[in-house]
Amino acid sequence: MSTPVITVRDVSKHYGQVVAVDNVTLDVQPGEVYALLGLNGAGKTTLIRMLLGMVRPTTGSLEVTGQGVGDRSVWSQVGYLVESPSAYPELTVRENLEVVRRLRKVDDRSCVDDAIDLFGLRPYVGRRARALSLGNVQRLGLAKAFLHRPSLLLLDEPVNSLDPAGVVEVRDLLVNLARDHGVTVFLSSHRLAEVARVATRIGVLHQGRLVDEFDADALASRVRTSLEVGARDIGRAAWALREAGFEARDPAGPVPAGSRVLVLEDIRALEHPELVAAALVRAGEPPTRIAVVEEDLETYFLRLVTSAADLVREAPRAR
Amino acid sequence: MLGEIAAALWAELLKVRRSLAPWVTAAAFTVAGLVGGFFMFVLQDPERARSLGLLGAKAQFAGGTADWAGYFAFMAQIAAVGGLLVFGLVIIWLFGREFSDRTAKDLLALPTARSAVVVAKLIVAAGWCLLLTAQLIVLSLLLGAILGLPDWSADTALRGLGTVVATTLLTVALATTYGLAASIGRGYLAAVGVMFVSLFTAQVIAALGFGAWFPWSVPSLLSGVAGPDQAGPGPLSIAGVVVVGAVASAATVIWWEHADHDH
Repeated sequence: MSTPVITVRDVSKHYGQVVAVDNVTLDVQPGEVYALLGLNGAGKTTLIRMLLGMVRPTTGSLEVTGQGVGDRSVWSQVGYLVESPSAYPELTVRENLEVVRRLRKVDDRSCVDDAIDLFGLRPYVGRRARALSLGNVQRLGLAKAFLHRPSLLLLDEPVNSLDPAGVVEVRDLLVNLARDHGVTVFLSSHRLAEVARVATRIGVLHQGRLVDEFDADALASRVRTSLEVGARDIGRAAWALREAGFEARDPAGPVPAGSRVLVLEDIRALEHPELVAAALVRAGEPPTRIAVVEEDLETYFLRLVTSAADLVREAPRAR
Repeated sequence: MLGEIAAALWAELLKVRRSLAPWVTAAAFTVAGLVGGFFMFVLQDPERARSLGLLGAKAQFAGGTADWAGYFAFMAQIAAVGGLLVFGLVIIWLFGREFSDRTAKDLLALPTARSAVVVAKLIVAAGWCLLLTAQLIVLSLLLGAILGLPDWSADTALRGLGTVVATTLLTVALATTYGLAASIGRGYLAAVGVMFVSLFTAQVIAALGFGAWFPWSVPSLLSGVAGPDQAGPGPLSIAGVVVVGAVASAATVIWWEHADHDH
């Protein structure tokens, strides 16, 4: 395995009694799109700020491109966007990018125009930042992050203010940067459905702890699948299914008003829904509906962090 | 490091040029200069001064005599008292805007050192304040010439202008504390509070006669605002102001380099 681009070892950050990040360890490999997923206040931004040397960890160590984050030379290889994007309101789009170019010591002036074109800012190039829409300020923030063609992008909620077209655009751009240019992307988000489309690896941060970490390819196998069966007499249908060896239960979540639904999660029912239908027909209670239902990603995420919260409550805190 | 300061200077100057702040401060100092000229105009004619009543009394207090020496003293007082306010706002704007515009975080993980950014801001602040003083001097010289003020001599001009420039430099040194306050307070509000507290305290302490021991009162003493009977500040008082400026500047650099920038 190659040297990680990001190495986080046993990192914690405490603000008095508040534990913002709790003993996090993770690696990000070159070319990966690593998505750090978590609810608001989970510690994502604090972790990104620590990776950028803006916040010092209480304990633990962080390395970016093989160097400690205290070494300033590392920043020439890193582009970033932290929290909401910002720009000098009285400067134009071009002037904002020119400021970044000079402070980033980039000699090639054409990088400003390249970034303008790459992020679709050409129509607004002479417009002052204060007159930009939120989405275009976000594009400007991304252009500032990518102006110097970094090998690592640290992006905090990068598609937050973008319209659907902008979201797709940025998503494609990130995938393209990672796949074709070997750029490593470390991004945070609270939207699993969004990161699932772009990430190659996902870490779930909850109450400061990294509660789960998996390859994005494995996401499908982690999402619960169930068989929903509708019947006119739900009690009789449940009895019939039990008689046929299936475990049926009422749905835990809300069901549409007036619907009569049973949920089956055992593998035999999922692989052979025709056996379920046959059992109901034999019992004189034919199904009104049979459907294989996949848990949506947001439900999966909430289930994950809810069980993680239980674990966090039970486990002794590392202090 | 010099290249980094040059890059940061370019960025700071661009931000200043594109902003309204230089025009606002220039307008404030223009008004101050015009008021000084008006006072001299009133003082030139005692009858007119008496007919103006309270305004005449204030003019007597502020300038003393309607001659070049009195006019230079008035300029120094503007640089001391008005300067602490306007120069303070200049520095507070330069630092505080990065937090109110939420652009500070974009300055923290760059190949350009954070200290270079701070130094560039302090250089721009000093240059800006000196330009305001230069504007005040030019305007005042013009108004003085139009009014035909008496007792001009090279010695009076050198002494008077020297006091104005020295007062400006001391005031700028003290105003660096507001840059530190704007950084630690992450915005304008705390720094403006610190500025008004220091201005108020300086007036009270100077009135009590201990101004030489309180750095924020020293520029006023140097400008002669306490009157011709009061002795000017000694070398120790001047050194105190220089130390305050140096410590505040160094503390600002250290804060930007080492503080937790968590919002």
